[in-house]
Amino acid sequence: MRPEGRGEYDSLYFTYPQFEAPAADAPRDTDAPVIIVGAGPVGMTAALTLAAEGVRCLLVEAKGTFNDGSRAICVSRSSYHILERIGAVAPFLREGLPWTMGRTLYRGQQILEFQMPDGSDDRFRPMYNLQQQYIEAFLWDAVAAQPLIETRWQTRVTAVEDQDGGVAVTLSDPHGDYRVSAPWLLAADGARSAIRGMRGLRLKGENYEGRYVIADVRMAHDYPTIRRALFDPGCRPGGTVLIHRQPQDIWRIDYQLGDGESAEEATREDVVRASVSAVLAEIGHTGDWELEWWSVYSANTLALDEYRDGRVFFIGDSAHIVPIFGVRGLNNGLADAQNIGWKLGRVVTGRAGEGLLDSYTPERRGATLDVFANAQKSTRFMTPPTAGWRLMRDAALSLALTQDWAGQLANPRQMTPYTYADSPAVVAGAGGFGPAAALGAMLPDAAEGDGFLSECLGPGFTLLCFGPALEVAHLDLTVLSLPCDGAAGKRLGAAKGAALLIRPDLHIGARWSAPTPQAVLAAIATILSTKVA
Amino acid sequence: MPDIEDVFDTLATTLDQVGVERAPLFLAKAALALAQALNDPERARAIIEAAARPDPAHQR
Ligand SMILES: Cc1cc2nc3c(=O)[nH]c(=O)nc-3n(C[C@H](O)[C@H](O)[C@H](O)COP(=O)(O)OP(=O)(O)OC[C@H]3O[C@@H](n4cnc5c(N)ncnc54)[C@H](O)[C@@H]3O)c2cc1C
Repeated sequence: MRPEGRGEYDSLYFTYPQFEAPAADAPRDTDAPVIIVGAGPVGMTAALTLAAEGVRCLLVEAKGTFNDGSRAICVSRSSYHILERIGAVAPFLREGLPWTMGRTLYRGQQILEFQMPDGSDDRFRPMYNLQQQYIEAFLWDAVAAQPLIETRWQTRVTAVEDQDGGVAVTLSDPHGDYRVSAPWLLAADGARSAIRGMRGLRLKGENYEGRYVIADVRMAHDYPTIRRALFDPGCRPGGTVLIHRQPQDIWRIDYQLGDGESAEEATREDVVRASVSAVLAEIGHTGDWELEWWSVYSANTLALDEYRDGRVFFIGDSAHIVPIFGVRGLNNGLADAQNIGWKLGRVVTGRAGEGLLDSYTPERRGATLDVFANAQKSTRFMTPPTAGWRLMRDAALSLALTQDWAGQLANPRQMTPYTYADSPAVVAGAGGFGPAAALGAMLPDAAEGDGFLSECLGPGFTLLCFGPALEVAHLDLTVLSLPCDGAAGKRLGAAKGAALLIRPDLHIGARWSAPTPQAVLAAIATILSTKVA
Repeated sequence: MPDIEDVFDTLATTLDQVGVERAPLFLAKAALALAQALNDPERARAIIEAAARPDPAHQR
């Protein structure tokens, strides 16, 4: 919502572009192998990942512009790696505000300062703040420059139907309705996914009681980019407040509503202004501020049982809805997009068997369930659902005023990438590495030469040999030789002569203490669900 | 058991000092801090579960 007199897209600092529907006489058919529904951040990332694999797609979007408010603002390190792999990270690095720490206050007194893991071996910081409009605008710049992606704005999917070897969709634009089909469909159409409904599928899980107003304000406020959490502050007794800095002097204020406050009342402009004023007074901001946008939010942990339905894959919010406190809604969606992108790209181009697609649900739904487990803990702490949870939360906060161990209970457990330990697309084997290089984990970065390990990796699979490069040839494989006493070898705990197989999504696909060319080729074939080349 | 008798006395007098209203918060804090000091989560859980069980005489 926006203040009285301003339209839905009337932002104080962002000019929404207006994208036209295809011209009346433009061709409407397509022979792209993949249709992507929804040009939100997840749909665009999937399109760019497919394009990086040389695969064309048709991207259809119902609206004529980007999402209306700033929504997701925290972009994680692992997402920056995804953006880097699709060649889109430069503007994100230029504009995103990096941060590494959080502060938690209870009744005005600091009880916890947490540091997220970070060091000179990491190319990217643990988290960056950037409004969702910019996230979408930067992705769009990359999509628009990519000839393999055809985007149709103001084009809504109104029906979907299975066909022999493909999916047909009915598209509706200002000029009329028409049907197109493709072998594969990615449903990136968001939390209220129409495709999900048309396929008769439902999200399952829990809705939590706690409700928050999230408001963006513009103000000149001198405080570093640090996540601030205020428990039981004077301005909202018994409630919780979160404060995040964003680019362009925009600040995100999230505040919890009390049991007696109705969402309708709380989202009235004068009530929002009064509530925000009280929060700003609490943090010592006395200068002017302008209200940009606000919304109301309640925590859910909802997911589909299965992310694949025949030739349709659900990615992003269409497959799962998670509470905002772990900042994983957007970040997990980007990982979905990359995961299906590298797999489907290889299937479509005949470089992998369709069996590879069977790993999509276990890997990405596994990641969602992991988020749920963490989110449940942080949500219970942020908005205790019952008298028992509230009493114990208050006890912990009260102890935390004087004892550090209790403050750790308030740690928000921010985003860490999920480890695909039991996936069919990893190959168990002899170790040769320390715990940082667990099977299925995302490869930790390391300072190598003038740059970083992540910059040396090939476009597909990479074999990291900690010793001389193994003599092994595969079209999808880059072989690197690294010293085991270098930064990467130390961080990964590599034994001399050991090797790691890194998948295109930077997750560790196999490990050997004594690799052989046959074993490496067999592992790649297993992951890709093909015969050994 | 003179030691536990001291603790018993301290809990009783402290409970009276904090008053009925703040007693739950005080007891929650005390339990959490004692469990932390015990440094044995398994045992702490077992003690908490045992304390929640009804008295044997009431089980019939
Ligand atoms: C008010 C609000 C606040 C949020 N705050 C946070 C936050 O603080 N942190 C966080 O991590 N996440 C937050 N989120 C969640 C975050 O915005 C989402 O996780 C993210 O946008 C998901 O991206 P997506 O691409 O999957 O879906 P969306 O961004 O929803 O994109 C889906 C796209 O599909 C299009 N579409 C829908 N139906 C059709 C159709 N039938 N045909 C064609 N196109 C269609 C839509 O127009 C839309 O552009 C918030 C969400 C909301 C709504």
